Amino acid sequence: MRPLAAVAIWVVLIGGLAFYTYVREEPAPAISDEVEEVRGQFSLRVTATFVQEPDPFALRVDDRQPPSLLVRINGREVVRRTETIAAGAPIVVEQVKGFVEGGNEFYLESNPPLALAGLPQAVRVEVFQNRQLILERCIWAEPGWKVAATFGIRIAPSRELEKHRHG
Amino acid sequence: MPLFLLLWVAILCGTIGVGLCPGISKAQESREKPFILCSTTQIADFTRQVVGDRCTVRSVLAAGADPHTYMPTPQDARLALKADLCIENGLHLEGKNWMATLAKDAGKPIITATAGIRPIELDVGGEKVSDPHAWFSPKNAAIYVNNILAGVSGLDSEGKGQFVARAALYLQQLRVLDVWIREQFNSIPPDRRILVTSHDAFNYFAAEFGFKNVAPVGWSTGSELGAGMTPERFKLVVESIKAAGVRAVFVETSVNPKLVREVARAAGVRVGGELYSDSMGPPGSAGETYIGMMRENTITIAEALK
Repeated sequence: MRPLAAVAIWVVLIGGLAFYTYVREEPAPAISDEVEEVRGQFSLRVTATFVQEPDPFALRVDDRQPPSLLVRINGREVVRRTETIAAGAPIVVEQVKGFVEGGNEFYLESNPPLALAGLPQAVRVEVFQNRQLILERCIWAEPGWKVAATFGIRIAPSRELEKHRHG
Repeated sequence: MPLFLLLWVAILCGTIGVGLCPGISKAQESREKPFILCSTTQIADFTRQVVGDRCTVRSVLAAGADPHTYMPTPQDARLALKADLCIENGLHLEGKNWMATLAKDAGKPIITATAGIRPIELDVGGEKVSDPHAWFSPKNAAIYVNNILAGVSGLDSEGKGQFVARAALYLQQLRVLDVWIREQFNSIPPDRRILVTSHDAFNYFAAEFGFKNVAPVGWSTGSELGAGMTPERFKLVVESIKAAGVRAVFVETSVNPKLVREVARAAGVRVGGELYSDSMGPPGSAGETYIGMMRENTITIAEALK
């Protein structure tokens, strides 16, 4: 009787462990990246207080030139400029894709020249939806650093926009 | 009873098997790491910053050695045979291309860390030569790091993610270094920013940080290309130091200081200190890393010229 009891205990223990391992390794449900893009036309205007130039300290993992100005919306690269951009010259980008209804993550990176390392620098960002300004931000950077920031933009669902217009 | 015994034996075997597992992973760990042979101490430091502990990195040159005049030894040839990758500075820093010769003789791949750098052209006796001391600009050091990253990524594909992360961090440290150096020199009036050193190692540094560079010896400390001080040049340098109102001159760790001391005496100026140039400092010194070396040089120059 004793050996059978020992076997039963081991079966319970090993079985429990096997069950736990199976449950733990079950893949988590994949997050769908098929998020519907919001309707309407989006545009951006980016204006810097400095000459924007490619970052000499950029990590180079591919053949692409380091950017002087980079904008990502929800992780998707929508603006990548590699040329030198004059100080104060607004960069306007029309037909910007990538915004979705609800919360959006907006990332901007711009590189001032090292010769201006002693001064704080700033970039003004304006986002337009159907020609209407929906966001305006000024991003500042400490002297010597790249101007880089991530912030959220909430885009109202199309129905809400319609309601606002008619109501 | 036999069933119980069988089960006991199975459990015992399982336990022993599990116990052996760490032994297997230790054996895997003790596999030889890739071996990288670099020509200079600066390149070895950049490489160590990128690869961390995943590769063994050695420099052919010891701290304080002169790459222009170095003659490889049989020990260097043995190291090259052991290497999985060789890295040279290029632009003829390694006199008579000794690093490329070592790699070629050993049949090993070699990369040039200065690839893609826009060199400063020097006029040496009517001949145009590229200045090889490109690491003296932190911006160029970033190019070294990116070239090294590309080279070592092929050696250890599993470690590539770590190499990229380490390189990204180090590039930001180089940016901080660059900004800090600019801050230190802001307090030196432009007319005092004259850097007199043993040989033309500081052209990139001077160009980057707004100095005028005067070097009595010439492009190389070796004898192969435009090197050597002539009485005419000595006189010219002394006169130019007097005329420019230079406050101090500097000796270099990898070059015999005798000549600069003579120039200083003749011009009636003081020796401002010793700068790391073609080589970093020995282990334990402030200049044992590239960042440490640049920081020490900056402090020495800023203190002497203020």
